[in-house]
Amino acid sequence: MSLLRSSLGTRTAEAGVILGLVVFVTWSAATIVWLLLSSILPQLSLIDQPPDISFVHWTLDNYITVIGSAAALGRGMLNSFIVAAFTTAMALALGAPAAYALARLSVPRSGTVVLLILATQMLPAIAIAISALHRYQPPRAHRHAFRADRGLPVVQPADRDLDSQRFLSGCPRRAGACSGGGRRRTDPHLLDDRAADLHPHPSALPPFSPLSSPGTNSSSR
Amino acid sequence: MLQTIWSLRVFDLVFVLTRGGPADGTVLLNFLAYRVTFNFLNIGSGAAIANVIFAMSFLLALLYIWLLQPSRKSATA
Repeated sequence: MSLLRSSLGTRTAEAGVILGLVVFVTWSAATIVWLLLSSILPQLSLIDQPPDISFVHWTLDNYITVIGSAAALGRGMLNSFIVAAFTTAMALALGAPAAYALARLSVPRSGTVVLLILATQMLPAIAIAISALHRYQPPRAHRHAFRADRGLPVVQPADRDLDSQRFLSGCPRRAGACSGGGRRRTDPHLLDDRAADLHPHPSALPPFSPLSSPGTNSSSR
Repeated sequence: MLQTIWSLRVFDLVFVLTRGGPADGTVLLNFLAYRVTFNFLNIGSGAAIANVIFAMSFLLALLYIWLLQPSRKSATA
């Protein structure tokens, strides 16, 4: 009787583990499956309620569109590879000798050094933005916006300030995607709206300046 | 190799510091996927870009595993 009870308990435990694994794998894979489905379904099927994921709608149009827009994808890929190459090179150049020294040589206070190295990993990467907030002054475009917010006369910003606004908003200067103080637009016909450029809404601007200022553009002058 | 894969996935610093500017100079693939999906509301293309990133990272991971194979290490030694 006790043997039967023991066997039943073992089987129940195994079933519980398998069930837990199935739930975990399903939960983890659902995101990837949905990402794959999103990439092979047309927009209308995706925004349908509930989404229409039937096989008849599957298409590779999204991939063709992405590969077709080679400029944007190539630029992003190039930037990613530049960042990846430089960070890997720096990690190897600095990390490998340091790791060898700490692991194989008798370095005084090596434990403290390792703790300090680990401490840099504990600091969230986003903390760089907080230090940048104090180190860099906001551009003149911000001051115009704040002045306008207080009801004082608005000074018409120079073209360089417009460049700064586009820069802060992540808009390409060639006006491919959006224009005007953080108000993003998908309609390319609205890109020449200079009035929106001259009077941006203050809430649309981020609270600090980025690490570098945009260069001058002869076409915008 | 792991550092390379992690670097391909950078998003937060770009989003907070530059938002892709100046003139798309800091648009990485992850940020491009975000911009296409949430700014231009083109969900399918954003997902396609995300899958391209996944494929690239997967290829790098395969290369990483191949380089660290014990048989390969013993052959080179």
